[in-house]
Amino acid sequence: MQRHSIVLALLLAAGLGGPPARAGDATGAYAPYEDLLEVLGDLTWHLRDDLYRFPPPKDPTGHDLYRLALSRLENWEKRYPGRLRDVVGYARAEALERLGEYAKAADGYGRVAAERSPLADQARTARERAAGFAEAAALPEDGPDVDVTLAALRRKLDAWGRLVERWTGTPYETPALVEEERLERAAASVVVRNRTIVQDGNLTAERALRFLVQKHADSRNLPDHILRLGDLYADVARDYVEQHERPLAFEEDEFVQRADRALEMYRKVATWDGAREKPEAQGRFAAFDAYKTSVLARYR
Amino acid sequence: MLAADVTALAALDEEREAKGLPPTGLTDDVRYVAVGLAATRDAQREALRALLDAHPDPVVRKCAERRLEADEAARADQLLADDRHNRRAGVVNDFVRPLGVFSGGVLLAALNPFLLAGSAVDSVATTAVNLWHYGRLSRQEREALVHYRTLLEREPRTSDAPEIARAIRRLGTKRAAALCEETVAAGKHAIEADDLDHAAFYLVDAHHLEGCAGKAERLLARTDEARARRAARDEARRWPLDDAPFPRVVELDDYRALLVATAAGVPSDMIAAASRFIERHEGSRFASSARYALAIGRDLAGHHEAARDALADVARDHHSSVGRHVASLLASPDFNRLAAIDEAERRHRRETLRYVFLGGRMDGRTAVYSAAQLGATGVQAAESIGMFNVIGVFTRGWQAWRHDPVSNQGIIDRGEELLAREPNSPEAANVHARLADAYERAGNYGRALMHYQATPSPNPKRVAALEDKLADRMLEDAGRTGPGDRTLLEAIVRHLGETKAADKARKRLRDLPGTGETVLARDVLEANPALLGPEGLDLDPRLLDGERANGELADAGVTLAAGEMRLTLYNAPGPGQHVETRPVSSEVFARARAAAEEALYARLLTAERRDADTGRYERYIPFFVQGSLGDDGVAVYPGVKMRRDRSEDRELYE
Repeated sequence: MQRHSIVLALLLAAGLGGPPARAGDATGAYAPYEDLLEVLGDLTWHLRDDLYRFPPPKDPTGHDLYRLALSRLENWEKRYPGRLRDVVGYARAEALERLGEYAKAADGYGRVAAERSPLADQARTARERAAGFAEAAALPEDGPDVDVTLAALRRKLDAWGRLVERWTGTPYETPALVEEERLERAAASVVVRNRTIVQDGNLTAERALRFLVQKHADSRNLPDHILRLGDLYADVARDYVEQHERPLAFEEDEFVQRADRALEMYRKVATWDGAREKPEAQGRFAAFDAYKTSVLARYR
Repeated sequence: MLAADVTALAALDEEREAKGLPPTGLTDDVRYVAVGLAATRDAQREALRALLDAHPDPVVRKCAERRLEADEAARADQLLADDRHNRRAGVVNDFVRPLGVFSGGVLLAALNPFLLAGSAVDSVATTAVNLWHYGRLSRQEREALVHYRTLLEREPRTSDAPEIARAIRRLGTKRAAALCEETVAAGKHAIEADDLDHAAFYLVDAHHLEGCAGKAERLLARTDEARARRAARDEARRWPLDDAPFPRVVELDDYRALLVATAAGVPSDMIAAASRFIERHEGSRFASSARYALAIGRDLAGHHEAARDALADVARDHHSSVGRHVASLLASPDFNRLAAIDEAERRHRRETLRYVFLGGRMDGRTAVYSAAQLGATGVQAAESIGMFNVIGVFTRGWQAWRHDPVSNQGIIDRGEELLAREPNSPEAANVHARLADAYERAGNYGRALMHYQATPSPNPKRVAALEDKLADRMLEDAGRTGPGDRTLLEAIVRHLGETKAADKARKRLRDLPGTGETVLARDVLEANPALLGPEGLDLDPRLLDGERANGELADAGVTLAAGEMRLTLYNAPGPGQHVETRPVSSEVFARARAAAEEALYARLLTAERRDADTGRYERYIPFFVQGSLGDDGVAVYPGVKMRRDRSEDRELYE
C-alpha cells in the first residue's frame, strides 16, 4: 500500500508539470471541475438508470450526462496523462458502454484488467459483458435487398434477445432492451419503406408498427412509435388520393377513413402531457389536418 | 352568341303572358349561359350587370351575383375597401371608448373634474398607438395582393391592368417590408429567450431577404458573439482546472480508495470509503467531494432522505466546485420533481393574481397607456390601468374562477413526468390530486377525472361533477364535428349515461338522419309545393293545408330512405306526432330523390346569407352604441361598426 502511495504521488506530481490547458473563464454550473470525484460521482449515480423507459440523464445545464462525463474523462487524461489511470480508464469504459460503444468499452475494461489495480477483477467481468454486447452489435444490419436485410436484422435481434435473457433483472438488461427496440424499429422501417414491393405491404407495415407499439408499451420511445404509425396511415391516405385523382374515382368516405386513422394517432401524442414528442405531434396533426381539409375542399 | 335564342325566348314568354299562360322559365337561364360565352372579362362583367338589371329569377340572380363577386379584382377591391373602413373605424372607436368607461375612479371625478383628464389622455395615447400601427400590412392586403396577381396572370389584357399593376407594386413592397420586420422580430425574440439556434435561423433568413440585410446585421453579429461565448463556456466545463488540487500525502490512500469505490459503484463500499475519508480528514479540501460520494452511495443504497441531507450539506460549501455543482443540481427540476410541481403551481398562482389585479399581459401598448396616464393624472390614471378598478378586478376574478386564464401546462408536464418515473412513490396520490385540479382548470375533464379517480378516496360528488363537465364538453364537441358526431354522442350515452348531457345526446341520436337519407322539412315543402306533385314525392297537397283532420305534416316533414318514405304527421285527434312509413318503388324513389335534392340545392343557393350580427339598416347607419362589463369596468360608448371578414380562405393569409 505504501508503495502504491508513492507511485501515485509521483504520478500526481508528474501530471502537474504538464502544459496548462485552457479552461475558459466560465463560472457556476459551467465552470471547469476541480476534482475527479465530481465526474465519477455524477457518472456512478446514473449508471443504473433505466434508459429503456426514461430518457438519458442530463446535467443541470441540460447536456447528456454520459457524453459530458466521457469528454471530461478524456480531457483529464489529456491534461494529466497517467494520473489515476485505472480509475479514469474504468470510468471511461463505463461511459462508453452506456453510450452503446461496446467494442471500445470492452477494450477499455481490458486495459484496466491488465493493470495491477483494485478495479482489475471488476474490469475483467465488465470486459466479458461488454464483449458479448459488442459481438451482437457487430452483426450486420443490412443487405442488398429487402429479404436479406430483414434476415440480417432477424439474426441480430436473436442475438440481442439472448442478451436480454442473460441479463434480465440486472442494470444491463435495459441497454439490451434499447438495442432490441432499435432493431425492431429498423425492421419496421424497412417494411414501411418497401411496402409497395412487399406482398400486402400496407397491412404488413401496419402490423410491424403495431407490434412495435404493443411490445414496447413501456418504452420511452412509445410516443415516437405511435407517430410512425400515424405517418404510415398518412402515407396510405396520400397514396389513395394519388391513385384516385379523378373526381369521380375519389370516394370521400374512403379518404376520410384513412386520413382519420392518421389524425387519431397524431392526436394521441399531441395530447400526451409530458411526452417530448408532443409539440412535434401537434405540428403533424395540424399539417395533416390541413391536408385533409384541402383535399376535401378540392373534391367537393 | 346566343342573342337570337334569348330574344326568341323572351318573345315567347311575352306571347305566353299575353295568353295568360305562365312563362317558360328558360329565358333567364339562357341569358346566364350567354354571359358565360362572353370572350373577355370586361365583356362578361358588363353582361352580368345587364342580366342583374333585368331582374332574373332568384337562382340565376344568385349565380350572377356570385360570379361578379368571385372576380379576382372585385374581391381584392372589396377586401381593401373593408380593410380601409375597419382601420378608420378602429381608430375612431378606440378614441371614443376610453371616454365611455365608468369605474370606481370616475366617482372621484365628481369631486375633482381634473381627474376626467385621465380618460382624455387614455384616448389620445390609444389613438397615437393606433396611428403608429395604421399602415401595417393586414391580412386583407395579403389576400388582395394574391387576387390581383392571379387576375393579371389570367387576364393580362383586361382594361383594369394598369391600375392592378400599380396596386400589386404597392402591396408587394409593403409585404416585403412586413416579412423582413417579422423575421427580424422572430430572431430578436429568440435572442431574448436565449434560444440562439432559432435566432440564427431567423436572422440568416432575414439577411437573405431583399433589402433586409441591414436590419438583420446587428442582431446577427450579436447572435454570433453569444454562440461563441456559449461554445467557449461548454468547452470550459469539459476540462479540469489548470491547477487541479491534489490530495496531501496523508490523504492519498483514503482518497484513492474513495475514487476506486466510486468508480466501482458498489453503494456499501462507497459509503464506507467516504465515511472513512470524512472521519480521518475532516478539514481536507476533498471533504466536500467525499460527502458528495457519501450522498450518492446512500441514494444508490435506497436511503434517499439521508442522501438528500448529505447533498444539502455539500451544497452549503460554496467555495468548492463540487459544492457549487451540487447546489445547481438541487435547484434543477429533474432532481426534485415535487418541488418542481410546487414551483409550477406557485407560478400559476402568481400569474392568476396578476391577471385579476392588473388585467391582461403587460405589453408595449399597455405600457404606453400606463406611462401616459400616470404622468398626466395620477389617481385616475392608476384607476384606469386597472390598479384600483374595483369593477374590473371583480370581473376578472369572476372570469378567472369560471375559466382559468393562465396555462396549467407547467404543472401538468411536471406532474405527469413524476408519475411516469415514480408511479408508486409515496407522493403519487398527492400528485394525482394536484393533476386532477390542474386538468380541471385547463378544461381537460377526461384527464381530470382519470387522475381524481386514482386518488385514495375520491368523493362521489366530485366524480359526478367532473363527469357532468366532461359530458357537456363532449356534447359541445359533437355539435361542431358534423357527421362524425354520432360516435361522440354514443360515447356520452355509453360511458356517461347518468349525466344530463346523456339525455340530450340520446335525443340528438334519435333525430340524426341515417346514412344516405334525404330529409325534407315541412318548410322546404311549403316553399316548393311542386315537390308534392306526381313528378316529385306524389303526396296529397292537403298534408300542408293546416287541417289536422285530413292529415298534416309536422315540422320534421318527409324522410326519403332506400325503398321507403317516412312521413312525420301530427296525430289527429289529440296531441303528438307519429311516423307513417310508405313503401316506394325504386323508380319513384329515384325520381322523388332527384326532385328533393334539386329543391334543397336551390334553397341552399338562394338562402339569405346576412350575418346574424349585421343589422338590417347597417348599410345606411353604420354606428352602434355598446354597453359592456369587462376588464376595464363598466363601459358605454358609441362606435363605427366594423365590417366582418367574410373571406373563405382566411387562414391562407394569416
